[in-house]
Amino acid sequence: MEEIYDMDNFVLKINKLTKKYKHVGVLNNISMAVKKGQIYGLIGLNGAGKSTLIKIITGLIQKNSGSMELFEEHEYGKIEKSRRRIGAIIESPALYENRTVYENMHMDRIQKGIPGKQCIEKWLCIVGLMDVQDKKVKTLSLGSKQRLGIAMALLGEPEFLILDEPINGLDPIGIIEIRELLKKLNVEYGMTILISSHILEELYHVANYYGIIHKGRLIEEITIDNLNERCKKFIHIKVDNASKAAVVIEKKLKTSNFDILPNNIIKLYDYTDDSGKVTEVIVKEGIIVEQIMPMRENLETYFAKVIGGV
Amino acid sequence: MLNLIKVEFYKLKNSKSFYFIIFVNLLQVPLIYIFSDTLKIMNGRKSLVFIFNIQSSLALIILIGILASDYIVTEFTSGCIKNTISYGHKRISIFTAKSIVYYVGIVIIYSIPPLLMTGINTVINGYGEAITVDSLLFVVGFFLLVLLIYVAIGSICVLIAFTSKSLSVTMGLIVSLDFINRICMIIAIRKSGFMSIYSKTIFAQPSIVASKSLTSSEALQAVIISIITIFIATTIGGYIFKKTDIR
Repeated sequence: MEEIYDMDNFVLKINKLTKKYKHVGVLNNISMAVKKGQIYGLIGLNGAGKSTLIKIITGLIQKNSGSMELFEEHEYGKIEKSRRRIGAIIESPALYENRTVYENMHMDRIQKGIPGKQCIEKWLCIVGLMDVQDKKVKTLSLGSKQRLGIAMALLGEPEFLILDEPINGLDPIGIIEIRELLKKLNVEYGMTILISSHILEELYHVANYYGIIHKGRLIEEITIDNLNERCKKFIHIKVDNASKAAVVIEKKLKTSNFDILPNNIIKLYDYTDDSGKVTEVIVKEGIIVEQIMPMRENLETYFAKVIGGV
Repeated sequence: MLNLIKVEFYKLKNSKSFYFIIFVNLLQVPLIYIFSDTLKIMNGRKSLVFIFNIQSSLALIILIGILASDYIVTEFTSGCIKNTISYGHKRISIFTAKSIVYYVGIVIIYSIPPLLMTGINTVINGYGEAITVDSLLFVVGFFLLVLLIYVAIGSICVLIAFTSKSLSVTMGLIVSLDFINRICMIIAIRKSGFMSIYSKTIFAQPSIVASKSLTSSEALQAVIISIITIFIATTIGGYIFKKTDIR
């Protein structure tokens, strides 16, 4: 992805942004940047400040201090205009429940000043809602409402798509479809995407850059490569004598890329696809292998570690 | 701004509550006609003033309050206002577009019964005077004056709706306002000192304008009070909406 897009261009830059509600800090000195072409995953627990941050970006709430640059514009009036290049779903999709799917799209199209009605059918088709276009929104499932929200956000082919918890309420197939759609929008339409979730696993499959937000602070930003590095594969080995096994691994397998944990457990980060060889080497030295299995560092465990939950 | 006005007209045109309010307001025409012997023998010109006078004593403030709740507050409760703001429309444009179309709705609601009654009585009893440029100017001027007053009252409903963002609070405040107005009206009839104060409020203007002996200074006073009310309500409402966090 990085080779395709001009990574010097920033779609969004936020500097030391702070938001307080009645003296309670919701966002505290947040600084972040979203580059053109990026799929930026914003991860945080419920109440971490993700939605507040997104609401400031989309102009729904006002910051107390700090600055924001959107499409290289930083003056209030110009930022407001720049928002026309954004498509957004904030929290749950905002829809007129007593109107049909088509009417909702139609009203959004008029409001955005998009000429021609073809775009409605195009996006309804892409999100898979063509068959229900004449149904009232209140009769739709939560998943279909999410899709409609996404279709409305996509009207006008925005350059920057902001989705706040878009996978909420979707079934597993729906989640996969939305993931594929977001990737397609990123690659084929060149859309930059900011997507938030409280589940890292969800974002892992779609984002290529991550920001972890906790208690109103952005505590870590990490690329997909770094995340993979930190959540890498390993072999979990439980033996009767861990220190002896460690010496054997160092000498015979010529690697020191392992950790010794309590209860005689070793996490070996090499030979992850060849646990048979590891077993053979250790057993040959008379060490009893009680348990050996290839594993992967859990993304959620990593997330919990970063925010201090583990 | 133009796109906002277009979409607001689309919403009003497709609003069930708008047509319901028109229907309820229209119901009064046959009811008044049946129960009022004087109306049956009135000419078109007199019946126009008569219906406006009757309308001012009915609970029409509550009807436009219902429209304000459905048409404005629902935007907040459904969250759809978020779509409009996040798309980059200026908040003042959103407020203005919403207000303009809401006022058009009020004008339609208030105009239909008088126009209908005047039309019926003109056919049955004649217009009451020769239709000249002067008489037409009177009708148009009178019509615009009354509608301006109701738009001013509507601007207070817009202010309440945009400030409270809650269906129950909006309706509660508008019903309370109507109730307080009626109490004030009764007190004003009994105490002339209070009448001089009450007659300067926007709520007193419909009955003053629809009275038989409307003077030009009373008409001017109604215009000034209406414009001041619209200006204050719009300025405060627009400012509050601009500064409000939409959570």
